[in-house]
Amino acid sequence: MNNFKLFKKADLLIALILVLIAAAGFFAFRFVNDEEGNSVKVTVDGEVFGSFSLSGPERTIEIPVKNGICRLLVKDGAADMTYADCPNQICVHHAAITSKGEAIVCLPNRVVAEIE
Amino acid sequence: MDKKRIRRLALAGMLTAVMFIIGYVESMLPAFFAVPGIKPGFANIPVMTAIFLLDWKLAAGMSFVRIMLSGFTFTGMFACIYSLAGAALSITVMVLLKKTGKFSVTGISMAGGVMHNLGQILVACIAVGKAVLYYFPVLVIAGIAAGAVTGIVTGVVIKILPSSVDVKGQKNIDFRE
Repeated sequence: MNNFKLFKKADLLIALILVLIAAAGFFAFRFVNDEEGNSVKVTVDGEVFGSFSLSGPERTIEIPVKNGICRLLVKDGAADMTYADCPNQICVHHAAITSKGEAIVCLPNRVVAEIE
Repeated sequence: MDKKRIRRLALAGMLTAVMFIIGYVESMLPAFFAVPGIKPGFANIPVMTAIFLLDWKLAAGMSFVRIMLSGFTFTGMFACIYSLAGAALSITVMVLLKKTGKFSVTGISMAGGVMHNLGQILVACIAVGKAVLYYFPVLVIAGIAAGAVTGIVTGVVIKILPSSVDVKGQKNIDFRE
């Protein structure tokens, strides 16, 4: 193990390729999904629970899930998860979504709210 | 059994135990990251140590045992599927990259970190729908960063480990009865 190296120049190639993959993914989402969405589609366990228009009055959608409920607030063209019965609360901390293709995912409850 | 096999077995056992504990400690960290799936991934340190000091079969076996142990004790079977997909993809890529002999532990670890995230996001894609791909770019960047850190730590561990295992005449311990 005396010639064991912590870095090699070729590592930069790996880093570069990975960054390019990330950048490609990022721009694919930004440019393809730049338009404002019209509605938010909610799926539970892969099945469509419902599609809700982003315009119209402010309202909260209650989604029954395995562990209890999730609450999705629809307001001013945006959708935001305000409450979820799940241990990690990642979806609740997620910022509100507005553009097409954006999504809030609650993995423990298998809920996806996606802007269309 | 000859001494070499015993040492390999002991090292594999210790690394599995270390992996298990690291996984447990990481699972207790609060979800302070904005995106699911972002963790330092320190459990990759023992896996890569095994890939470099033992062989890929032991590394894969240890990883499998660790994921099953975690699944039965604290993460649950659902998380098991995610971990297995991530581990399978990441170990495969890391072993192949190591075989080329062109890359160091840090580069291999970065690729492994990204592949781990990719494996998990593919399972999420099947389980909850393709909307999770939205997280892909963030997870790639997170994988690179986490992989770089764990790679450097693994490199240091590997540099230290053989001497700490073998120094002070421990090499000469007779395992025969």
